[in-house]
Amino acid sequence: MTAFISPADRQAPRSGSADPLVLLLAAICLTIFLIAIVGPYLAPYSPEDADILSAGLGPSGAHWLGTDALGRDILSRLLVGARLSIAGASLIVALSTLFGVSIALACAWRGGILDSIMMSALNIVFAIPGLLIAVILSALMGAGFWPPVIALTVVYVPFIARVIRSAALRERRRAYVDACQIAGFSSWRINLRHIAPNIGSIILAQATITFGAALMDFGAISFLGLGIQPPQAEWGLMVAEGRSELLEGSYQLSMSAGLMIIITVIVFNVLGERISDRYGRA
Amino acid sequence: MRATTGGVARWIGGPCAIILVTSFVIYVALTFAPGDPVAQILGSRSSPEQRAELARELGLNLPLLVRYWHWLTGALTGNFGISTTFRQPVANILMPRIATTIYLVAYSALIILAVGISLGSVGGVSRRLRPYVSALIGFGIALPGYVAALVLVSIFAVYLGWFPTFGAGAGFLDRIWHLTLPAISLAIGWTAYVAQISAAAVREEEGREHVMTARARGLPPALIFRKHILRNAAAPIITASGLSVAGLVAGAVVVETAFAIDGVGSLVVKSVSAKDYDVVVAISVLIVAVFVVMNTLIALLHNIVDPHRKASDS
Amino acid sequence: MTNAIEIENLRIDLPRSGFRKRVPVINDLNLCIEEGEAVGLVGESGSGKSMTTRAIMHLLPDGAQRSGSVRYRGQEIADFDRRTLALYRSRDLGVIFQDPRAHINPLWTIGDFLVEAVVANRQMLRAEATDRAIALLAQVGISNGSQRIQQYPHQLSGGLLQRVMIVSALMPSPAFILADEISTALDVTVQSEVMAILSELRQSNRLGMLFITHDLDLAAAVTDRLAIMYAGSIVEVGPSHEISTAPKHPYTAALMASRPSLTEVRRLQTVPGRPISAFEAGNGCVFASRCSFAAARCSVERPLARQEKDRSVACHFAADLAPAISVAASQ
Ligand SMILES: Nc1ncnc2c1ncn2[C@@H]1O[C@H](COP(=O)(O)OP(=O)(O)O)[C@@H](O)[C@H]1O
Ligand SMILES: [Mg+2]
Repeated sequence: MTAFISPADRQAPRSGSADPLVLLLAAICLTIFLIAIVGPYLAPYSPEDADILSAGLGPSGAHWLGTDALGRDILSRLLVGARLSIAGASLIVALSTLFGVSIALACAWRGGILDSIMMSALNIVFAIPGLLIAVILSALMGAGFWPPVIALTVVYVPFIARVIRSAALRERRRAYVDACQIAGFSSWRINLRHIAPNIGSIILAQATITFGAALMDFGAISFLGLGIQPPQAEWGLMVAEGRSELLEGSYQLSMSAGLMIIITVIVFNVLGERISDRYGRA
Repeated sequence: MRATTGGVARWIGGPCAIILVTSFVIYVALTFAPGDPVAQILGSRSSPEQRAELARELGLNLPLLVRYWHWLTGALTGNFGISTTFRQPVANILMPRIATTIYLVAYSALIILAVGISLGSVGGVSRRLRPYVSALIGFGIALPGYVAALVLVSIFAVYLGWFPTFGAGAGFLDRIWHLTLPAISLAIGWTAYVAQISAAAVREEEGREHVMTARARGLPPALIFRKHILRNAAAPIITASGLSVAGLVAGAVVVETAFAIDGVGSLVVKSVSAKDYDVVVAISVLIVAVFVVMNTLIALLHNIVDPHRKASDS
Repeated sequence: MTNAIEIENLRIDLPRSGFRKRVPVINDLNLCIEEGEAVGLVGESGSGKSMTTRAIMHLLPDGAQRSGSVRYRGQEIADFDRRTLALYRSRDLGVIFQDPRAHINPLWTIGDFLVEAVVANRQMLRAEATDRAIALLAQVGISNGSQRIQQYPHQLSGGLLQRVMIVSALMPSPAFILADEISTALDVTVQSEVMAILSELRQSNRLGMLFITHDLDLAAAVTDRLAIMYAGSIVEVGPSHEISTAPKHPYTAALMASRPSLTEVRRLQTVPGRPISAFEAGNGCVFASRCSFAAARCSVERPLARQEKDRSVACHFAADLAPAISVAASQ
């Protein structure tokens, strides 16, 4: 019976103790997600209440990061904006990982015609620069939260599918898969219970690194005036809204939103790198 | 003889086929896109007869494949249709904007190659500087072009006043002056990417045994670096550089908007929002063509730098 | 006779993953090589032979810490300035590496590889160097040199490539050759041919040589003296024919007992235990953990090399063990 146990344990960390940097980064990630969830309750002001009398204020005790051109509290908008930005990036990652991994497993498992058709289709998507697809698709679908999410999912699926497909192909050639087949396990069971968990760390690393790119691109779409619309708060949109104030020398709005994006992306990228270093590259 | 026909098929036929297929996909996708070009042109108060008339004139009632064929034959002779917003042939609108975007992309490409490869080389060779270079690269990769654009503007245009805040300029020097900040913002992310790949490749090659041979023979360090490290690391660096330059064309969409530059990138955003699909199709196919040509160039360069293939040819 | 190379109390410590501090890989190594003399350095893999050649080239790995002294013709090589060091490496030393496939850049032609050093160091013009390369290729048995120099390394067999490597070492007319396991990767017939070529060239050019191998018989056949290395230090030195017939150190004897016999078929007697690296040896004799004659003293006190005429042995009991060792070696 032991022959059927897939060798999941071979991916155990090479050194025993947990890397303190990974723990720290994971804690920051968790905090960012927490802000995205409870941010609106922490916000000292309503993010969409304009107040012309207190427009364009610098940082002060009442408004820690100052106010924007419409007199809205920047800190509040930043906290509330985390929700759309993080939710957007998370959904993009979740959907593209779901579709990408499904396509990859199906292609690696069935091979043949399905594999060639799928891969040619993905190669066509690869032949078009991702940002162009995202801009056109989300413009076609109109304003709102979902258009950029769907558009960027379309962009990232091929990348994830390609990486995971080659990992799944390698895994499929291992002896335990044959053993499972001989034992009469269904394809579903072998793929979902054995192959997918065994390439889990590669999937995780890929998803983590995709998160950073998704956050930047989601912001880029709103920056271009597509997707999320004012008066809603979203980090990329806030960077764009701060542009006119920037020309007058007041930079808090653009820079605070930009900094949030940068910090989040760095944390996720470093974490993704650590995960793939530690568990072996794809 | 067979080798040359095979070569033509591989280096010219393949890319053309990809461009053809993607142009078809883009054309079809935008044909089914919401929005009615006839209503767009005539306005909402036109009569149904007028609309039917115009639709026939524009060939909108023909089967899809026929319409695509008309578009394709037109495109090959430089006729990309009519812009509904500008009410002018698409080619006329594109021409001046293409020049601007080429300036921007070429400027960025130079920055990427020069800074990316040098930074990567330093990070790959110097153990002492490696952590700083890695940190710089990590920051560059996480810095979105639109944030970089605003940071650069607020420092170098608003605060120091060295560069203009928007526009593309006219004439060579004025263009360079106007496009410096946009080109840098566009280049930062890709520069970091090229630097990352170069650093890894240089570091790996630097540890090879044949490099030790070169050192043991007393060769000057500069020669060793050029001839035995960088040259051997060329393949991944070429790939990364080529991908970056190809990606720049699409990245121009964001940066041109941020700096209000009237180029192809900002035009595509405006046109797609205005449902001016002939313009969108033309620009998309153009960008795809650049992308595909770049990828083919990468493959060609790979063949040139690899003596295994060179030797088997002769 | 004057010494070409003198290594005195050499110690090299390297950073090693899993260790907080650097660990020694060469420990208290002493070796002299006279002008024109061929010395064999024999030891198991990991004993530090290659590191010794790197010390002679003054080309240690990143982060290495070195103490002791390595002198070339009386001058300390650590004191060489960059220019002198480059000239020393390029003109005085000729290095032949173990694995020519890895040690020759695959992207350049054979001709380029052969001439680049002498041209870069302004010793010869390119045309002159090319002629010399073709002439030397002919000397090592490659007659179609003018075609070979246009080829790339992947188009040559391992044996040919090793000869190219030998030619590259001879190009600048060095005074001294470092040959690091040059025959290991070759099959037996090619191996003896390459060795014959090297010996001929050495004698006709009066070259000094440090010949590194783990094959004691081969070393004895091509060198004047042998130095037996174990765990980063040299345990026995002496004339080649004496060492290979009458070893004095238990390790040398064990090495001899473990070589395959050409005349009888029997199971190989390996040296018992696993070879250790310098940092694994305690305060005692480096070989104590595997020595079948080891006594209590051996694991606490490092034996000093004792000179006796032209032989030197680092063993507390060398004198007492002589009869037992000669039996062990001939087994
Ligand atoms: N670049 C290096 N960095 C760290 N340790 C090394 C390096 N090269 C060799 N070593 C270590 O030094 C010791 C001696 O190696 P080496 O001189 O290559 O042995 P030999 O040539 O006798 O087989 C070994 O323990 C080896 O692991
Ligand atoms: Mg060695």
